[in-house]
Amino acid sequence: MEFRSKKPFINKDEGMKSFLSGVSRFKSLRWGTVLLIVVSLFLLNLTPLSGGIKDFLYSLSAPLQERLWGTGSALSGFFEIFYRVEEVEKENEALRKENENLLSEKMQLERYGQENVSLRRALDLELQKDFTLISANPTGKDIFSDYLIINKGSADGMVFDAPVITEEKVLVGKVVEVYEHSARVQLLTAKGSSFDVDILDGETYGLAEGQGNFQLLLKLVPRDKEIGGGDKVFTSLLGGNFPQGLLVGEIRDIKKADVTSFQEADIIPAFEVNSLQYLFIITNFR
Amino acid sequence: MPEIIKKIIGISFLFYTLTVIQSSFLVHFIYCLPSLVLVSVLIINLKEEQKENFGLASGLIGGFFLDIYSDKCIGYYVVMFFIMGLFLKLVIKRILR
Repeated sequence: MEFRSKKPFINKDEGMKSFLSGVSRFKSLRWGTVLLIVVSLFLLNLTPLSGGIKDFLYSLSAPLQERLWGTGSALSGFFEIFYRVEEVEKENEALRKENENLLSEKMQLERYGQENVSLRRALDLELQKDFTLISANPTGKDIFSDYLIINKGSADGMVFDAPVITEEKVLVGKVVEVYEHSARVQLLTAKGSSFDVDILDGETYGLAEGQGNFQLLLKLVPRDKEIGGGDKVFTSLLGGNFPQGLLVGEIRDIKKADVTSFQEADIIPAFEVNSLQYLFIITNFR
Repeated sequence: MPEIIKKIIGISFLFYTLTVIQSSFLVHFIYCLPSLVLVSVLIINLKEEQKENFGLASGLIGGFFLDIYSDKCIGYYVVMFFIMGLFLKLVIKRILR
């Protein structure tokens, strides 16, 4: 009996060729996709299209983000009390002592007819007198670095490089990217942020440098200058980055090495990201 | 609608939501929380079969949303996640299986 296969006979070489051409087609398809992605990314970054896409997505999520930011801010303050009971007690004690000191200082100040509490409460009016301001709300924070997204953009008069402060004249950062309805703020503590500062008496100057992760380092303070923990740090006009006299933070952990001619210290920023609800952008600084 | 398009739309919506929630809500509680998008991309890549490419696509989409909400130029995390996906596919899976 003769056996006949229904399958057509395929030459081994032809099979191999067809297999190789399939592999080659598959590979070229993959490389084509990769090439397409790379070209798209280049186009996105070289044209203003990336700003448009970012602005669109920020604006789309802004209402939800504002609510989430507010809720997160309120809830974090509430829960913080539970796992910081001891710390809160110590803080409370320190604050009580500070309060006593402040009360005596206040009496003294009243006697000389200087600033009183009501004027301090009216600081926002002073702010309007000193600067042209835009108020904005933070809508999000960069997951990996010290940047905020705010809900005002060029349509509201936002300008590039504008200083961002709180109502208490505390410096928060500066605007580094402006979109139509949103903007990105680089916090003081972000890596790459550096500016001149003035310590307490107005005669000691230094350089504040962001270290990332909410850390700020005071550098280039001459060794012979006396600085102490708790000294207030303000912005200086020297670098021309920020208006003079904005509060930056408080000095802690001074590091003096014998071999260097400068001393360094950590600065505890005067703002807390969690409690930022309203921000003011100075648009007439430059 | 083809299944893959549905999957891509779903994953885009998921990653966008995760990025928005992490950048505006979770940042108040845990600063050092790893990116939820990164974790999701890792899980998808580890769970899927060697021949599937959805893990790579999810890396591209997740990277895009992280780029949008970070200070990096668009493409930074896209490329990182794509390379991570390839690495998981080509190296780890070949060793483990």
